[in-house]
Amino acid sequence: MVAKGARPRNRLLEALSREDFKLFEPHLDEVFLELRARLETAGGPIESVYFPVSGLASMVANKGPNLDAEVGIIGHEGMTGSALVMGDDRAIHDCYIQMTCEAFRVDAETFVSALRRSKTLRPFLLRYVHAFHIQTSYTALVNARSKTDERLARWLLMCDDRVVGNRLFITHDFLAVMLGVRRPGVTVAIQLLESDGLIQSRRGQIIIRDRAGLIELANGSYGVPEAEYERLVLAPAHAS
Amino acid sequence: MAIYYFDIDDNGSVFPDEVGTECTGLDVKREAISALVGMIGESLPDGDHHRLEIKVRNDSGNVVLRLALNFDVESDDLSDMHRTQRYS
Repeated sequence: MVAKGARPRNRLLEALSREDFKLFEPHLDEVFLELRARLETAGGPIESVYFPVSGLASMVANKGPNLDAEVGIIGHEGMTGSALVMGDDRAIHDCYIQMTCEAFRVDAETFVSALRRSKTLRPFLLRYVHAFHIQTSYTALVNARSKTDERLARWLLMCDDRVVGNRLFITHDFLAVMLGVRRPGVTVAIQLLESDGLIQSRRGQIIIRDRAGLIELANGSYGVPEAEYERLVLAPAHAS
Repeated sequence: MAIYYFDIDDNGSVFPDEVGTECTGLDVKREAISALVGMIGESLPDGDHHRLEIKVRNDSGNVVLRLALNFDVESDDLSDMHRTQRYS
């Protein structure tokens, strides 16, 4: 084990074997990413891989003006650029910062070279990519079958898992994209959750008041991907 | 671009928009229609009668757009009809 103090606070980096982490360590830049900073552009090459420490990056699929929807959330449990792990070099969706974020950055070339040099890095990261896909498949399920208030509850829980403190700085316009609904639908969902005492909403921020209540409202849509992440990414690291 | 407020009345439950959305005057109607259609799908089924209304205010507080969907089902008692057929 590497001394804890020397490890970054990204759970994926922490779960890497000592040898694999050493492949990155000299090349990791600490960066601060502003709101809406673009990390990947659909169709474009992936230039860097980011391991968030705080805040959130969002993968957003887009089929035209005002027709975008979030398809994945990446925080301190994960990394951007998972296409590189799968052998691709370009982004299929946009990826940008949804809540200001500290992150470790490594350029794509270094990352791919580390994948080639290590026998264990890609198999390990594939387990993360699979966990990420499980998250996305649940997003597809809730977008098709759950009401906006349930989806909002799930989304807030996912953010709460990744953000320090219980305040989420998020505008209603942004939430509409995250949930794939029109803005007035967000107003209704927020007010429903607020009247149930689950959250408190102020201009530009949402404060989580009752996590257990949000989990109940999410109605099974929260929890499975999170447990799968623990099983796929954290359990093997702890077992070794 | 100006700020518009989309107030919702979902079958008597009122959700005033205190935040507002920045959009062009041309987008207001399209946004309201999309929202109305999306929301009614979530509200139903919810009994035989449902009214969903959106009122859009501008920054001065004037209502500039108002749209509503009324959902009404009129039917005989279908469970009775079923029984009648079966036992007659």
